[in-house]
Amino acid sequence: MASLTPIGLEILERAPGVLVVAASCDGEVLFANHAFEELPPAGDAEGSPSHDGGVPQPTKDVLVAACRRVASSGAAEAFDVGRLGPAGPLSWYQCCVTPLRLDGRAAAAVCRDVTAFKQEEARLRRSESLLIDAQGIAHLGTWEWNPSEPAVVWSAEVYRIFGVTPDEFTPSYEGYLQRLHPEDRERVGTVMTRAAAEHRSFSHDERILRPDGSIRYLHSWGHPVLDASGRLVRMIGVCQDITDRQLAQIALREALAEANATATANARLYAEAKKALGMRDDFLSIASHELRTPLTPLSLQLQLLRRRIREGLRATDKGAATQDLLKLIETSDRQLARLSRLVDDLLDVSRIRTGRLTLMPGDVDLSELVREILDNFGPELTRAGCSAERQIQPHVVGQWDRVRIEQMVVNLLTNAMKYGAGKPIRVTVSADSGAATFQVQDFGIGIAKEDQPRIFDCFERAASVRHFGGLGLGLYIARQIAEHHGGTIGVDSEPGAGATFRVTLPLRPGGRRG
Amino acid sequence: MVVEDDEAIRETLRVALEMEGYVVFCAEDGREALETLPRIPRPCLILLDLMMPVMNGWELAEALAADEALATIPVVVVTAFADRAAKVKKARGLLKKPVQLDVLLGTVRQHCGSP
Repeated sequence: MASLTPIGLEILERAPGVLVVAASCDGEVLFANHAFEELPPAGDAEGSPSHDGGVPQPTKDVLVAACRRVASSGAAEAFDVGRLGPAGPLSWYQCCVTPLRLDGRAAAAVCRDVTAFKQEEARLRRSESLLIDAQGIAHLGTWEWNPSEPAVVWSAEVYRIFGVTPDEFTPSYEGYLQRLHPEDRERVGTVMTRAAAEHRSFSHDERILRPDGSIRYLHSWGHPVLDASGRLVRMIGVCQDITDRQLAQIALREALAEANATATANARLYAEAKKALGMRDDFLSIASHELRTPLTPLSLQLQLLRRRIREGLRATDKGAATQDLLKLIETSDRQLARLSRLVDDLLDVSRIRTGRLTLMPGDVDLSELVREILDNFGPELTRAGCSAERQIQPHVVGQWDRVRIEQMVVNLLTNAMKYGAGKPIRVTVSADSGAATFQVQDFGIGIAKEDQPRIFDCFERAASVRHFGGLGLGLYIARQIAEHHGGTIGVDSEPGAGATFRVTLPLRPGGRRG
Repeated sequence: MVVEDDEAIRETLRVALEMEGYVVFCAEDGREALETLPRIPRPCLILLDLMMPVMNGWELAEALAADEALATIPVVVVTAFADRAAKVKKARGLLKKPVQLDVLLGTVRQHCGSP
């Protein structure tokens, strides 16, 4: 056996974490250091399961067998031996077995204890695996970019986010920009170059396009890494796929907007319904007043008549008393007629609103009709203090519903007398090129421009309710009659200067206008 | 005095009261009433309609209450609007249209005595 110098021996004995054994090709141990002597002679029955697939255990017989092999073959070997536990490596050695140049064949195995490194390596691997899992769970990827190089480093999750694999795509700054949504490209590019130039962090939203065309919403953070002299080494950062969250937000926003719109529409409908109800209530209250107005004198007159008849005619001047009573009866008649007309108006409105207004056209001489109406209204006109000027072109004949036309004329005339009392009324009838025109002009209170469209609507009145009675139906009915004949009605008026109502009717029924 | 814009009602009221023997003056709106009152013997009662053009019943009642000489004349409202009559200044009573003859005569007798 060759001899070892004392120094040589000391080194071999004292070197920390080193196993040394030398053996001949017969397996005779020529030298072994203390650490080797501490090894177990052979492996235990469980064997050494290893995720690398069978690393030999650090035992005496393994190493001696290795020496014998190498001593025989003359070829050096290098391998690991180790023991793994459930939590990682328990012990690990890197071994080199070298043939020795001595008389006879022998080899020496020198093993270095790398347990700590191996444990650290396992820990790191575990840590990295956790990190990769975490990135996958959070859809969070990490990247590194050195602005002076085109290449960029991506973690696995970033490839997944971008919908590509490392085989098909080599990440680079340009490549990344290309994958951005065209609308975001300029903004993001500017931010990133400025961050790199000014050594700033950034954080922004961006959209990318995957190869299949789908859009992903990302949030990216970037941070500069500087060296000791303040130069930029690289930018590092994180990008997270927040598409689900974004889409949910967008969906929520849209749902809110829709709910809002519905609420607004409902509020508007409610307001309209309330307004319609209010108008109906106003109408009912005005209507009841209007209906009671002719009923009052009628009722009083009948009561007076009954009283007189019961008492007998006690008056000294029987003639005068009889005249009074006869006048009373005449007044009663007029009130009845008035009441009748009101009820008819209400019925007409109900009919119009349910689409049941039917016309019965026949030959009507409008000139004759208007003249007749004006004559019949003589006493009323006088009572209202209105003188009637007529400009009636003779023989204006058309195919119309006589009753309805009469109703329309009477409504317009009544209005003129009510709102233009004490002033003259000008009535015109004319015809030209297939249409007849009927016009009533008064010189009364007039109608303001903003009220003019409304007055033809149902229950609308431009004059204040407290000053002028009336149902507000006359013009509505007049317009319905004109339009059902295929004609039009309009008004020209200035407040204080009276109003001119003009009706045009086609001579022949041409159907409804518009 | 009868203040009423509707001619038929005004005339009927006048005839009914004159048949009983009362002297009746008429006005067709508040303004005419205010113009007429100084020129006639002081009425024992004003029968007041509410819905009138030019100056309505509410406005006339305000004007009467503000005038020292006229404020003491009793005012009875004659109207179809029973609910709004409550807001007439210093009205002593209310006759609902259509008016009952005996109620009318009773009210007039109450304020004016027998004719």
